[in-house]
Amino acid sequence: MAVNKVIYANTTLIDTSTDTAVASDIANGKTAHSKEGTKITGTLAFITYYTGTSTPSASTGCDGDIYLKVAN
Amino acid sequence: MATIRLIPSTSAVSNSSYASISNASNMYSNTDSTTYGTFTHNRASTSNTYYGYLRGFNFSVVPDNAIVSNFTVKIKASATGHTTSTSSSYYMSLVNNTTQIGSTSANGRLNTTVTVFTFAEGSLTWDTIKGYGSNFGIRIPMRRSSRNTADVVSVYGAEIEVEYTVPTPRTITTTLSGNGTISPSGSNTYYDGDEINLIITPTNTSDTVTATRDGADITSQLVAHGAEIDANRVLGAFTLESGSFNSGESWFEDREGKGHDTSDTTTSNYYSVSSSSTAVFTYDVGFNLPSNANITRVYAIINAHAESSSNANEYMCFQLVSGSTDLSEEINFKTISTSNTNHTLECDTLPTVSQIAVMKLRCRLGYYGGALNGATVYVEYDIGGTLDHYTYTFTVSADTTIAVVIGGSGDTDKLYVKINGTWVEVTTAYKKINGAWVEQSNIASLFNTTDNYKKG
Repeated sequence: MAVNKVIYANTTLIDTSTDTAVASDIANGKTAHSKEGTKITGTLAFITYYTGTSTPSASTGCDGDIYLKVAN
Repeated sequence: MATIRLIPSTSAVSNSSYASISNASNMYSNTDSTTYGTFTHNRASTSNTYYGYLRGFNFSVVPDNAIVSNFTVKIKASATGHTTSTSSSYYMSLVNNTTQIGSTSANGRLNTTVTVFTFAEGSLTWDTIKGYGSNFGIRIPMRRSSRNTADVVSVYGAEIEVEYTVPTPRTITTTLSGNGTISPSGSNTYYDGDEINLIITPTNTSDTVTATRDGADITSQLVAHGAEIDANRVLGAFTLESGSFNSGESWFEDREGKGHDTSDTTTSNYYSVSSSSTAVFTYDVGFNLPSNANITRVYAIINAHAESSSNANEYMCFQLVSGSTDLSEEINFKTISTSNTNHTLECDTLPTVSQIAVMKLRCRLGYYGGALNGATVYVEYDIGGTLDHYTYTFTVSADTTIAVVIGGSGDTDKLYVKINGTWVEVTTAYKKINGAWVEQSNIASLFNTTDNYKKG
């Protein structure tokens, strides 16, 4: 059973019950806990964009990434 | 301009009893690869040649409407135990299935050094190799240099490097208010450079047409054409103008009267001048047109022939003129034909209405002569505002760069990115596709509101 609150000697040590983050808010592959206290894995995907003054190297980035070339 | 590298996906040998393939998947890379697969000649013989094949290039990643400006086929390979013969039979080549394509071959022989070889495509075209589809490929010959040492060809990868551009699609929407008809109507996709002809038939003068390109109004760019009218006439009054005419030895024989046109080639006007004479004569071919006529074409079709002779001074030339202005080029039937033939005289610079009113067909005659069977002069024009049939013609062309701005200020029709606190204009944008950076021409589609972005 998931735990979202820990109280010890009338002191709240941990309380995630009011947290709002869900899997779609967390970076893809990263883990966190929901307000219910269950472990969640992030699904938020990013497209990475790079900037530079020369033609991008083939080793830079992954498929779907964007490279913005600017003047020197 | 985009560049993409197509890679193979299939491999085979010509004889599986005496040749084999290992680690084939390593070959399905471009020539940047550092891992390899091998084709091996397994037969203890220096007299037999077997082949490996790399095919199945992914042509589908190049857009169907791409305009390919250049392509280069490459392969990265080395070989041990390979024949040292310099015969062209042992060069790698391009194939359609197993058949060599023309004389296409690699720019070097396989050797122990890992080398990127290129192929001289010569007259081979992109459409041709794309048409071969999955059968297009590279043939790798295997032949032992020594009976007891296997010929092992290591292939690191192969590619077709393609440079191309993709026309920008535009949505053109046309509407006609009123009871007339318009074609095409509604919204249609066209590409930069397309010429679109809108045919509009209004029912009354209050009918109006509107057009947009990608939502922007372009109605003012439409060019209205009024009703198109063709006018033609045959030869009019004849006038002999030149003073060098020798009437004692030269003559003009007008057998059937002047004025017959090119539809009647059974009668002719004959001309002849003596060796010491020249002559210039004209026919009236003017038109009386409305003052607001919009001239679109003026030309003449002449059916004539020059008399056959070896005299270099002979000529029979025709030209459309108006006063002292030459309206067309001058043609010499001596150089065109000595038998009856039609020839078109075109006015490359359109004459004005006033010039056409006094237009003449002028003939210059030197020595012998020839026969003019007939000539018809044509004028095409339209009258702006005539309510009958409108033709709008316009060319879809690239608009100002569509605006995408990542925050901040700057011109709304350019792409900027903030670097070290300063907004900098982006000169070129790329997207990584299948492991390669491909230049993007449509910056508007580069970013959207549903994906998330982070700085790399």
